[in-house]
Amino acid sequence: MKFLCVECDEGMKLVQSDRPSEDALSAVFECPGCGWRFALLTNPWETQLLKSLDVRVGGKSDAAAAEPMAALRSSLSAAGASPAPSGGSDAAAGATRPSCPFAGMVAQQQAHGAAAASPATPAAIPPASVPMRWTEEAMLRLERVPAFVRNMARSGIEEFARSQGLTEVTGEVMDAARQKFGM
Amino acid sequence: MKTYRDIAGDGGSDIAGQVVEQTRRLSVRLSSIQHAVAVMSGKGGVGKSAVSVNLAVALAAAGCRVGLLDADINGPSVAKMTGVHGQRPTILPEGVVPVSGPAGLKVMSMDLFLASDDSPVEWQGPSSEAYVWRQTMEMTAVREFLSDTLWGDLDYLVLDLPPGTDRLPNLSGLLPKLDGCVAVTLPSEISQFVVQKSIQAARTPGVRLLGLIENMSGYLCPGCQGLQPLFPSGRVEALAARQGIPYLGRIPFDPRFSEAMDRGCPVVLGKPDSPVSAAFISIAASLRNILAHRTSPPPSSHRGVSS
Repeated sequence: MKFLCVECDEGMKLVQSDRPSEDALSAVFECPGCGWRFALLTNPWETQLLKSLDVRVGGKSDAAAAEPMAALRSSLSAAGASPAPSGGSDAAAGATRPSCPFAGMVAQQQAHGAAAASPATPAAIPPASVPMRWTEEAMLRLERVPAFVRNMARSGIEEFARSQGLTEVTGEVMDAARQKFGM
Repeated sequence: MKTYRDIAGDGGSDIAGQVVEQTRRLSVRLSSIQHAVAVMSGKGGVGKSAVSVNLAVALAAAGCRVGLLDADINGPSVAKMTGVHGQRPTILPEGVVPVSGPAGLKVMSMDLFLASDDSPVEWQGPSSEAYVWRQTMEMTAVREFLSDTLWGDLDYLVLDLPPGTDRLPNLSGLLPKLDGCVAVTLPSEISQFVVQKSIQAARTPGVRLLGLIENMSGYLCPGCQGLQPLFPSGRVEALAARQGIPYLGRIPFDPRFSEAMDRGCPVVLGKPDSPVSAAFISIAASLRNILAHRTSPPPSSHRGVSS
């Protein structure tokens, strides 16, 4: 898919893209001639199709591209997927299980339920329908989380941010989440 | 006004480049594999997986280095049949180590990633109208199994395909290298009715048909060891002759065979002297010969168990 600025007859250039959230992504394009910008917003099916093809608008980071079976492990439903596929022996498992900074938080959240991690008053909590923004720094840190727990980590952090009455995830929010969950 | 082809690139995402990288990664991984062979039928319930497992084990028992990929994403059974169900593959930064099965078989299956026996394969994504993306996700999973598994040097990679006459054409479009396919059928007319469609579907993309295997060719009496007919004989050989492909042999139905599969103990290893094992060993030898010499045996040559 390409975009053309009809006024300038120039191909639009990608200037910013958000990583796909649960069901949507956005990408901002700009005309190199006149500077006109517009945002592409995908619906859940379009977003999922991109995930299914294992491609990303905006390109993949080297780390994301190199991770083995990333699409499979990040797309399997948490209910049916093995929690941490790793080596059969303890030694192998210890050697290969990623030291994920959010795995404990996710496990704790699953064990105690999201409600336990929501101390803010109900009136201050943004509804789940309000999309959570991620700063570039926070997004880069999320990229470092192993793919097969990334979606769960993202959900957990967003849930934590909402519980604090926030609508944006920053590096400070991620630090607070880690502290909150004893990581 | 400029057209699509007048604009270089795609604005910055390089989606085409990402797909090329996927293909490159797949080619690199498969470059250490001598022969990739798919086992297909198109029809469900004909015993593809049992044939795949025992064929792979027969090749491994002959001293070959063999990998076995369960390409049936939604109904994975290879892990259970090879006795590795419940194990977890080791995940390393450079790839995923396959589970070691009988006779050193390297096994990879979706089953190894599922939480429990009754866990179905469920993908994250919009549940309504999931048909839009689910099949694409399945093919991506197969691609990742192929490209991200640390297969190492293999003589043979056996791919156990799910039912569906479109499966082989899809796979051949994905794989940079597929040496051919083996079709499995029951002697029943309805099975052959579907399998012949798969054979034709394989021809369109130019996949080499290595041969046809007749499964459940007759009932092998555990008492007298006599082979009693389950279906009229000679039909599958006639199908092979009509299609101009080698008839690789027949596998009799033996209750002990299916029990061994349930236990995760391939019959080729558990009862190597049984007629079923003899049939698999003979078929594996024929397959090796065909792949090694790139010559086909006569279309209706008799192999496997004699009736």
